[in-house]
Amino acid sequence: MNRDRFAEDRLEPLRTNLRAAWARAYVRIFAASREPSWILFETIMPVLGMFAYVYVYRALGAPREFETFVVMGGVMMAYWLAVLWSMGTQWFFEKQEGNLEFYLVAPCSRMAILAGMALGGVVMTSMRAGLSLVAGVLLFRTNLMPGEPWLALGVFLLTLGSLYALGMCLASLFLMYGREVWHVSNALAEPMYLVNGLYFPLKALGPWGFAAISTLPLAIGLDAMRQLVLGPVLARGLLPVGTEVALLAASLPVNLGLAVWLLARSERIGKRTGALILRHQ
Amino acid sequence: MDLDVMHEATPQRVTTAPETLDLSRDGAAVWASGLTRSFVSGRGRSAKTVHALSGVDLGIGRGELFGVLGPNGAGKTTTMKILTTLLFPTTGEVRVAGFDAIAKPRDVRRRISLVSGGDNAGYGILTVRESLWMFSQFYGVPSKLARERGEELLDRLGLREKADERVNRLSTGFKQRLNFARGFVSDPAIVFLDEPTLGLDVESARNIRGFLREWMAADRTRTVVLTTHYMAEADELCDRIAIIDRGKILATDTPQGLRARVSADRRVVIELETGTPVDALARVPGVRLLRTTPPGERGTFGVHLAVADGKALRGALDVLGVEGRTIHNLSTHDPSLEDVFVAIVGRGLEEIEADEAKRRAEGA
Amino acid sequence: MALRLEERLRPVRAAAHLGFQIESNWSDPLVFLVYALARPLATSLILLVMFKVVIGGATTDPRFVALYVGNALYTYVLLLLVGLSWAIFEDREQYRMLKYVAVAPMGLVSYLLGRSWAKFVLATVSATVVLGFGVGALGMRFPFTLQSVALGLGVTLVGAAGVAAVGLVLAGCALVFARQSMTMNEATASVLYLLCGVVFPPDLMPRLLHPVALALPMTWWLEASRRILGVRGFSPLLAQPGDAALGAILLAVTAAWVVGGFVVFALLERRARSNGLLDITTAW
Repeated sequence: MNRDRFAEDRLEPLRTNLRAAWARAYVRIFAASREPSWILFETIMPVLGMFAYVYVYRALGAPREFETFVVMGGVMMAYWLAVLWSMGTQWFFEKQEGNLEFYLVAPCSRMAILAGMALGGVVMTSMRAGLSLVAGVLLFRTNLMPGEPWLALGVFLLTLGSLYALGMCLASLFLMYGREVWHVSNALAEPMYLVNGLYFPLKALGPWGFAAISTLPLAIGLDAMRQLVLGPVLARGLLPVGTEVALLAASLPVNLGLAVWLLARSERIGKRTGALILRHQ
Repeated sequence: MDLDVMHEATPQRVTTAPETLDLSRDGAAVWASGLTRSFVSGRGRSAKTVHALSGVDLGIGRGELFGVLGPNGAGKTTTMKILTTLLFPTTGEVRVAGFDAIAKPRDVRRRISLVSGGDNAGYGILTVRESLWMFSQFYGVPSKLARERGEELLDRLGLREKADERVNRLSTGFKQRLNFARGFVSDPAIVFLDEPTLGLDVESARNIRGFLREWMAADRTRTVVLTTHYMAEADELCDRIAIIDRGKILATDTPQGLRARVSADRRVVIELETGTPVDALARVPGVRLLRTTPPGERGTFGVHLAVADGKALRGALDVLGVEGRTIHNLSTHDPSLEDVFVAIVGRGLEEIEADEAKRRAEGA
Repeated sequence: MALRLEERLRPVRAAAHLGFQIESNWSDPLVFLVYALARPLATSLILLVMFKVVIGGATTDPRFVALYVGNALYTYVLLLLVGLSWAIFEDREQYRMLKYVAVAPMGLVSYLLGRSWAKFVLATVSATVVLGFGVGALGMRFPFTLQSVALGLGVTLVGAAGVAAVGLVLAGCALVFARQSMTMNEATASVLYLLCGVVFPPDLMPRLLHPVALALPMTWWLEASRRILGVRGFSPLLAQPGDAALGAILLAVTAAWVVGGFVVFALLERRARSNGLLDITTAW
């Protein structure tokens, strides 16, 4: 073969992957501006749904800090849903629409494509999260100022990183199982809210709370951020913030490594069973 | 009667001579040995195994435009999926661009692209120009070069006027052209085209075939592997053709070579009134009755004969004259690829597809 | 020529069969059951934890029973309403079948309603199981007389009609919006969760939103269902009409939405046809 044309230096794979990630993000970032209806459906309306839980607490006569739980949970829910639907299930939709084949034949890595999807989606997701924060502060007068803002930002970024790595793991499952996993993800949306304590302190789950906090980046990050905003007593924190930050920091490389392994493995299994080329399962 | 006066000219084509090709395991553009592929459908007791490929051997040289011809369900697409690293074979070895497609898929993918027929042209929300740029990025093509190539492809494939239009606003034909264009934006060494002209109008299909010839002529190391069930397309374009049916390759040769295998006899098609008996024609010396086509709307049907020479043809016409039969039309040609296909596979494409439809209807 | 009833119903039955196939053919029965029940049960448990962490009271507390019942029945909104517009997205962008249905004589409305039967059945099973969980595991007590069962079935059918009517409007919107028709479903379900008094009395919302809540059929359906199940006094606003008046309001509001739903869908379908939106893909 004409190897000269295809000879690559050591940085070529990285350049290809960065270009691929940017190209995939481009679709999301610029497509968003062409179909502005997403502002209503992916930002404003979901935030309204979050209000329901604030009113539940008001109906029950709960102390004010519970409304802070709901608002902060709503903010992180935006990112969790982005991970689930914009990353995890994306391969499923790409396959249904006939684009998956193209990605799998291209030489760029799968993680680059997923990273591009994540990057592209983060703009929209952050708008929703931001709106949740603003609504919480302006409409419900919740106090969301953390005592240590830089630490809170660090915890937030660590949580996001680990969450998106988890999204890549989910994406690998979709590569293999397609529609079944999509339905299961749909079904697990609310159970995930439950085990991650999106609307209540994780301590309320008792031993299940410990199980959650030892494994789920969203649960760990949310509990830590609530403690930084409300203090450990009002936030009913499960573990000290320092411990939770350490757990988060450890989970990031673990989830990333797991994602790399799962993506490669699921692709191999999909090629062996033929699941990758089956369009409508 | 001089058959040569009546014969239809075969299109001229500059081809790669098979004897100059390196079809060895390490030198071939595509090399496959003993490929089998089975699929299991259903679960538990109702699970069924379908053998899509049953021992496929392939050798495609650099610079070839190689065709894989066969009916629906023959195994063409399965073969393509294996060659393009989308699917593992159940057994067998496959090397593409000199690399093991199973062990080193990335090295293969850097050098190939795949275009599947149909209108899957990417994301509807992007413009044509943006789509081509985006696809190029997945191959790591620098943006400036990608844009230059994109502009060339827009011109060459008649997409210039649609360059800034969103993909979801294009007609099917333009989407298919875009789908085709994206396979070339990375300037691959090997392009796999899986039924690329499926559903295209005549002009678009002609345009694409012309593009393929030019693209290959511009760099003699470029290789194209094309699957199709359009005989004329395979005949016109391909240097060599593999005929595949029921998961097996039945013959591989140049189009001329395939025709020569079948027969030196000239083909004659006589259009007769529906119901005319044809057994007597088969008894004429030098005439073989190949097949008849079903009656058409005009109340006539076609009789396909293989005729050794002018004397045999005169004999056949005399038989019809004696019986007072009306000949509505008569034409002669060299053995076509369809004749080759029928001879090798044992039945025509139309017949295969009619049988398939009947089987499906009975199964339903 | 007027079609006989049988000819009109045949395609609806085919669409219903299709709906059942799509809902159930992707998995084995056990996984399917988990899928059907996980979401409503999880939401119920979220509310249980919220209640326990604040009040700490018994699960038979009328305040908890009221929001539990609302949440159990809300599954009709999640499945039926969302399902109607999701079918538009699925058929247009993934299966690419929508255009063929649109040109068939049965029409899109018949197709969608037929296809949503599976969702209705699934929602009914789900709601029944969640209410059963409330009785079996949480000690709730609901009246189980012939009258209450008959009334409950009737009210459920009317409620489902109301939900389907709102779903038809949403499906119409899905025809004319882009890929957001996917997120639009969940977003609308979220808003309805807020507005319809599902888990809290609508009285707590700003006064500006009260007329919106009262204009939705789900609000009255949930209140009627609560009364049949013996839960009263959930919302002072909704407690004002007596039982007969509540029934009449429910029927009137539902009827208005059913008529409105058909009209709005027809208008939006016409817009989608004239703009060539029935067979485009809008993925990104």
